[in-house]
Amino acid sequence: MIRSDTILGALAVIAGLLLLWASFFIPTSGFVTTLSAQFFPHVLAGVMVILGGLLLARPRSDTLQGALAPLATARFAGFVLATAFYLIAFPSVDFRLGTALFLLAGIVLMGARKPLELVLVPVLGALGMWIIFRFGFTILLPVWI
Amino acid sequence: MDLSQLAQAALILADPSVWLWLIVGTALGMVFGAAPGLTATAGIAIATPLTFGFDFASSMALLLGLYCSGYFAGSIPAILINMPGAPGNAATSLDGHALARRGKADLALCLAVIGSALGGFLSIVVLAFAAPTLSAFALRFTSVEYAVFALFGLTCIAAISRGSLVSGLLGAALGMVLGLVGIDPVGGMERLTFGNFSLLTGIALLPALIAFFAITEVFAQAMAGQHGRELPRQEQARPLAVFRLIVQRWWLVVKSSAIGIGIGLLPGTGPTIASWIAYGEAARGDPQVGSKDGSENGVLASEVANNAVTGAALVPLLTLGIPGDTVTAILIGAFLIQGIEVGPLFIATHGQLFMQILILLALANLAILVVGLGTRRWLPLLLRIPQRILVPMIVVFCAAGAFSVNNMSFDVLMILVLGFGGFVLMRLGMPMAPVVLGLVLGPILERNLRDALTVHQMDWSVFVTRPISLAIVCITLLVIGVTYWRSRGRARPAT
Repeated sequence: MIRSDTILGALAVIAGLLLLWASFFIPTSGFVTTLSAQFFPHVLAGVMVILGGLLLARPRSDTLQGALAPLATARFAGFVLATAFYLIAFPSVDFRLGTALFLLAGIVLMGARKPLELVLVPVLGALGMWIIFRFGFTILLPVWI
Repeated sequence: MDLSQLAQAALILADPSVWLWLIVGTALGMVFGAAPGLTATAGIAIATPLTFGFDFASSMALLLGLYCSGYFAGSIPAILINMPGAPGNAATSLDGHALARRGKADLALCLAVIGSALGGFLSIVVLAFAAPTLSAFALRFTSVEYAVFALFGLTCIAAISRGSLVSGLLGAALGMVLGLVGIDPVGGMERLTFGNFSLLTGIALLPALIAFFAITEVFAQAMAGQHGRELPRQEQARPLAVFRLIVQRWWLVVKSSAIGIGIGLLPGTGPTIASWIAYGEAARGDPQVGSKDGSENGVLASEVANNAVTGAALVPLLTLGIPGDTVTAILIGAFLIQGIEVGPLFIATHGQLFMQILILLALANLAILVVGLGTRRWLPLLLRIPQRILVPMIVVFCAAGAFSVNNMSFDVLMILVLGFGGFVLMRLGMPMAPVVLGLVLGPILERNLRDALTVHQMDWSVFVTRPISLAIVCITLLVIGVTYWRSRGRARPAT
């Protein structure tokens, strides 16, 4: 049975080694008489490998299945995908349109079924949020018109 | 303190416009502090140019009202929806939201309101009576002391890593790695950007905060479904009972205020570090702090320290002309608009204006109490919004908030990457609070350590040969020792 700490520890060791590898590409200036720009990345890489090793050696009893199984539902995957699409498209789609579509998808995935709710929440939510940021905080959000 | 000057300064209380601008400032501070991505700093930066036509008292009423309430208001979304409005309120969300989950959001809000006002009042006392002495002491802090101080701050990890210290340390290391990204602050070299131009400025703290607290919470709620993490009906708290509860914890208030004031005095620090260190101290004394059920002590310590920074950060500004944090840096502009130069002669030559500042700061903290306690009954109504609507709305708020920090779409992408990554790591058992602490303290530790060694020709002994630095090193070792001793005591089975 795979444990959560085993995966976390393995990830930490891999991340530490990757950091160590990447830090060798950090340029250093020969004129600076102090710790180099590579010093902290090296230290942190070492710390991550050691801590990852400790987790691998002495994992707690939580199982990986218990930690990640709830994520493997269609509803959760749909919500994460909708969020990802919304955030990736954020700069190129009109805020009001993108937000209305995301809110519609989001509330449906969260279980909303009432027709009035499915119309009012996306429309009023998107417009209300745009008005607050545009006129309240004078923040220019991406819009087409 | 010159009482005749105080009496003359008190005449501003008869001016209705001062009251009006104080209320406007407090209300604006509430909005800017509570909105994710926007901070008191942004609010003051926007409001400062508006004070061109104001007299000194009205200008300060607006800006100081905004300053004090802006630092407090981030605790409102932190408690209600686990989304700190500002970095200084991140520690509040740990216990504040846990209390809300137990139906005690009103109690947590009352504690935040009264604690913030108390912290603010205590820092005014320090500003009034000890400003010149303390600013001279703060000036003795060099990069050596800042470096060991950041190291001391990292001892909080033990307190906020409930469950597994190794996972907590790993989280802090991850946060520090994220803090390395961008231009190396000493050598000016590009570091861990992988050729991405947007990463040159590093990973901004506010989007990271939104990702690690709000987006992870959103995903957790989406995973639980529409009723899985629905909050229970909220109990009403009686302010008098909360006052009594705070009086019983007077030592925690004094300790957290001292931490907030001490950190506020040091230029370049700010409320984020203050609230985390105070929170860590509270956690050392109360095992309930940071637990699943949350503790009143965690909220109180974090909020007292957060607002104790406000008056203290004005000490170096008004006595030396050095701003203690970003907000006071902008306030220099507000003073210049009034034709006043702050510096060593300010209190001597503008004693009455100094008194006006003290009075307005006290009023601003009073306004936090009045507005905070007055509106707190309606704030938990936010929790009555069904989860199926609230959760997607929070995502929209997070996206717009992250975008508004630097007007960069990259920050919006960042909250997705960090938020999802953080959520998976959280499911694997890594707490998020140490990640944020590492992100805050890592760059401070690195920059000051390297600066200190540059100045002292790579002589590492400098950290134990300077008296203040040695004292902080000893306190750090003492805290680590006590934490270890207590953890052994808890681990030992009862006989």
